[in-house]
Amino acid sequence: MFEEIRWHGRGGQGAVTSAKILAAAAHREGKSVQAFAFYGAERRGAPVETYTRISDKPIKRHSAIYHPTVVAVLDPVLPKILYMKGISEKTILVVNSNKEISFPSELKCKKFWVDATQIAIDLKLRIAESYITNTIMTGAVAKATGLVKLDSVLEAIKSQLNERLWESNLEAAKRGYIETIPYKNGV
Amino acid sequence: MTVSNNRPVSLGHEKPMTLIISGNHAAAYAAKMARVEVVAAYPITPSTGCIEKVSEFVDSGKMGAKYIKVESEHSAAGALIGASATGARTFSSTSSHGLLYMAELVWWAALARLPTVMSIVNRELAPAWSIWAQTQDSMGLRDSGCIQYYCKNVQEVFDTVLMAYKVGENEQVYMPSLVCQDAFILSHTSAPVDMPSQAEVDDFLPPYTPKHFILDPKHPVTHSNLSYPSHFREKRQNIMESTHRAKQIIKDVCADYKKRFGRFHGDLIETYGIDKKTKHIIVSHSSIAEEIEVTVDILKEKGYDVGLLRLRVLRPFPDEEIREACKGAETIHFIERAPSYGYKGVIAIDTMAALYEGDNHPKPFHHIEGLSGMDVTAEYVADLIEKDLASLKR
Repeated sequence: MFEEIRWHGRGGQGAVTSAKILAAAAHREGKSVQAFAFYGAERRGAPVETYTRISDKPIKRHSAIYHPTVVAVLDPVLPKILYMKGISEKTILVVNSNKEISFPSELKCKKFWVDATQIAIDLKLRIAESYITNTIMTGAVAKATGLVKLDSVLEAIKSQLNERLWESNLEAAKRGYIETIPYKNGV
Repeated sequence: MTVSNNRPVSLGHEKPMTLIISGNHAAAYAAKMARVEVVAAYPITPSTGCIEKVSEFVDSGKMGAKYIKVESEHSAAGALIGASATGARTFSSTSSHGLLYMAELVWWAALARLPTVMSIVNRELAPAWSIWAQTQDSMGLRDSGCIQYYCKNVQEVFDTVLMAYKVGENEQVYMPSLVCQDAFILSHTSAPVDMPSQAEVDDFLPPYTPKHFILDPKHPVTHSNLSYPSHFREKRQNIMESTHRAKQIIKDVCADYKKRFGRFHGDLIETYGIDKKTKHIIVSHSSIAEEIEVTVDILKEKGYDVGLLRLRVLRPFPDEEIREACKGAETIHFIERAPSYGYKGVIAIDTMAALYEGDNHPKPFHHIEGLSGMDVTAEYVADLIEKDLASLKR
């Protein structure tokens, strides 16, 4: 296996932490992992991309991810053009949305949606003006892809976050996992 | 603070462990486990994460080093020189303009034979402004006498910081070291890092006990006074000999590290897919070189007789090792991040000089790639090599 996961969010939403939590979860299951991001001028609210690589062999690549096997979208109103690039029929797309949002018919990948923003509101996962959906989406990706077990995600959250954040974020990941729904027609 | 039987605290590593951390944090953990006694640093992107982690360790009492806050990189290096001269194990981290600002004192530390270790995050120089990877900042200091290591991944950063102390503090060497990693590509990439227990590290790396000199008010000595030409040659000759001797010491330390901890990233060089008859050799360094291991797999699959030589140590320069690895080579392809303006890539210049002293002179192809962190993929490099080889047939 060689999985390349691309996370899309906005500065301040915790996409870097999503990439790390998924990596830590897969590492717990004995995989080689790598979590990274593209860094530029850091601005809260600007679109950001982060990446996780998971493999059963040592990972030697350090280049960016151009053909992701999974795309996870943390922010419901990011322009689709930002996260549709490089997607193929083999890609699994997981979007934060309160419904099945429509995509161009030529986008034939497997799609899932989860209302991560509502979960974040329920759990008061908020920093400044942003709802933080990163741990929710990590649970959602675990569900949609089957790449890691939910238990591994929960343990990974404990390894990556400060203890005072555990309770709400463990609940967030569980709800993200449970409430992730495949598109009705599959694609 | 620096009494050998009363070593600085390093808590939290009673057992071996694996953490998923960045290159910056890997260097910080290694400094802590090396029981560094004095740290002085001034933050600069992208090396800030390293000294932030060190300051967190010191503040929480997990690391018993003295952390000296300074107003510039120049002062940071000055503080390390003073502390190292008293016999303390010292550490800092910087990048790009920060390293150039301390350049005067990097030379000073080397010429004073002070084995400090610095984690260098290789970053472009301005203008135009850039925060991304390029290795000219440290490669521009290659003539200073500092031992320079270029790491390919985060695990290698951790291991190399520990090994750099062991090499630099060897009484046959007594030279400072720069342990270099690519900006963001390693400094901000999280990957699993295996760490031994503190007891294992203590056994590998005993306290620094300098035999050449110690600044001590009870036994006053004078250093760095005016030295007449008749004495100067001997001092510099000693540095030349010590840095040459360091080649064998590095090999010995890497072999010892492998025996103890099971990890080996090459010593002076690392080869991938090379035997004595390999026709086409790619020469590269740092994280690009690990990506190029994938290139070698791609090209071998296509039937090319190709291998990779990664320059792990730039100084002392592994000339004999390069000649040995390139014995059967017909072409040599340089993929490097650092140009020497007005000539060629820094690594190409040294490598070709080394090959000139041997019997085999492969045809060189020069590629400066990845400036300012420009993405270099395995497939892109494979394409470059195929084009190089196709040009021979025309």
